[in-house]
Amino acid sequence: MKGFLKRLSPFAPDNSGVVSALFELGGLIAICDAGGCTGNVCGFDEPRWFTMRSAVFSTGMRDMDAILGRDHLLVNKIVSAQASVKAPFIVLVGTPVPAVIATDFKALRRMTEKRSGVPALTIESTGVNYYDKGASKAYEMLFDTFAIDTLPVEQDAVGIIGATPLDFSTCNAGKYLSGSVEGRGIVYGMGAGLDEVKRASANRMNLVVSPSGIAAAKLLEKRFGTPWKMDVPWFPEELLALLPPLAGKRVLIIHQHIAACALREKLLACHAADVSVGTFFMTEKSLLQSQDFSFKEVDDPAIAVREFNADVVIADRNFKKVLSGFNGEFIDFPHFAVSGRVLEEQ
Amino acid sequence: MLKIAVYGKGGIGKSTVTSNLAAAFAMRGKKVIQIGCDPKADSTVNLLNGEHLMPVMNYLQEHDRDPEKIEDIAKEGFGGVLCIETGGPTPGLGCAGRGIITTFALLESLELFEERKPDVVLYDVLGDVVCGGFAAPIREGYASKVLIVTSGEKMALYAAGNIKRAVDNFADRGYATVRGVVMNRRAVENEEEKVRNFAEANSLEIVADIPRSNDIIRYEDMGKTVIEGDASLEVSQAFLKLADLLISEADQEE
Repeated sequence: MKGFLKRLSPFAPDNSGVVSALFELGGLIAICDAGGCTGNVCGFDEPRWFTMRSAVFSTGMRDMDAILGRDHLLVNKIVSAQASVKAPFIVLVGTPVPAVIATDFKALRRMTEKRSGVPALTIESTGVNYYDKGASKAYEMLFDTFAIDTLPVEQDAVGIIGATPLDFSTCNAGKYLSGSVEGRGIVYGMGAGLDEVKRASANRMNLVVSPSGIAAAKLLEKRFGTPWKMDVPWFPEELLALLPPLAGKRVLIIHQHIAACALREKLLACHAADVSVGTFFMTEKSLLQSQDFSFKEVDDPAIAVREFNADVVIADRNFKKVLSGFNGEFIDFPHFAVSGRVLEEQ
Repeated sequence: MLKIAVYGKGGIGKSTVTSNLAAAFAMRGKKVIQIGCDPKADSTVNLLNGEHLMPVMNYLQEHDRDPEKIEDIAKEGFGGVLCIETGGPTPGLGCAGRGIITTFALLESLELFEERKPDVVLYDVLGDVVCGGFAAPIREGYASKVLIVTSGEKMALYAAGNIKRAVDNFADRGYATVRGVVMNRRAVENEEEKVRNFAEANSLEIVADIPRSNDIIRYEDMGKTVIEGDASLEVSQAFLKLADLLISEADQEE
């Protein structure tokens, strides 16, 4: 069966990506579902749920809401929750049911804003794409809505877009990434809040640390002329310590595309013989090399290992079980969107 | 860009009206896209010399991946009209409305409008506004005007009234508005009076009066619109007149 990732736990879906990108920004986040998607987001895909407060709700959609398309009841519910939470903005997150019944998120945005008096971000995630697509839409709409004013450029300000725990597998990624750039690293959604989003035009440049940040960086470039580049300035020390002995080896890295490509540069600097990257997630064409892979099926990583003749694989250890026939060295590079808390609990 | 959705009771002649209107716009030098939003996928057949176009849903089913370029799911017909059919499931299965939504999302990701820069986009929509999917063509960003096709038959007028009410219900959502009624004559007794009474009762204008004509059937048998077959015919002139009206309104709005 195509696209069926047997032997792997399901990857984080796009609605989890939306929540992850916006979790820390203080908005009222309403997931348009019956409850299961919200349970998945809060219970599995969002590690900050257990340590940090954020107003994430399920809209509690029921059969008759889906049949009758009772958008007005949904808006009533959200406006009432907003009155109690007093959030500066509202986020409506799509899931499979609204996608199937063709809920009009543009109309919901209009109705919610009119009734509540605060901006609404309506993100048409469907639950059938992976987390990065949802996060990408969320960042883009966030900056499109709030980064309006053109401010004088501050030479030390570096915006960092695309950092979520799903990408960096630690709730401290904001702190680490911020401390790894020259100047003042402003990590949107992981440390930096809505006020910093509104001041995005003051950034000297933006650094995109995962493919989900690309669309927003392009928007800010178009709107304010802010230059941007792709790179990951921080990796866990324990991972970096394992790179020098890989000199002369052929290495396959499996992760989100920008992190994998940034790690490739570090490996090549350590004189690895050759490095290929592969990903199940969004790829950035300009970073692709001829020996790289875009995975769709569960057997693709094993095929890549054979085709590339890899000596070493660097990947989330959940992938180890799909690398049949690979007897080389495996180095764990956690990717929370892939393994979540499954391996943590083991 | 002029974006129009054509609605009306099943079998009332929406595809005939839409494809003739597309051909009429093309005759006036406009760059036109026609999107058939019906699982039957026969909206554009008379712009394509009677050839059926592979619907988007069939493409997705056959290839199990999104098309990479517009040409994979579209074909140019008479007057350069770019034809697209959403298609849909086998009757009784699946969700046709979801098919329309999926097609629209796909066309957006292929940047259809940005790439083709059409002057006119026509959406030929199945029957009534039965669910969210069939309202998609009149949502923000898609059609801004609705034409309702009706004859003087009771059920056609009843369906037209339902469509008008459905569109009016969406007023707070920024949807399209009904521009008017296309009277597609079916040789019903007192037809004009019946349609005029309906239009008046619903505060609508009759924007076109399409005469009953065997030429439509004759040219459709040849896989053509009457515009392509013989633009000088009275019925062809009715379509050209409607195209001219809509073009002049769009020019004024700009």
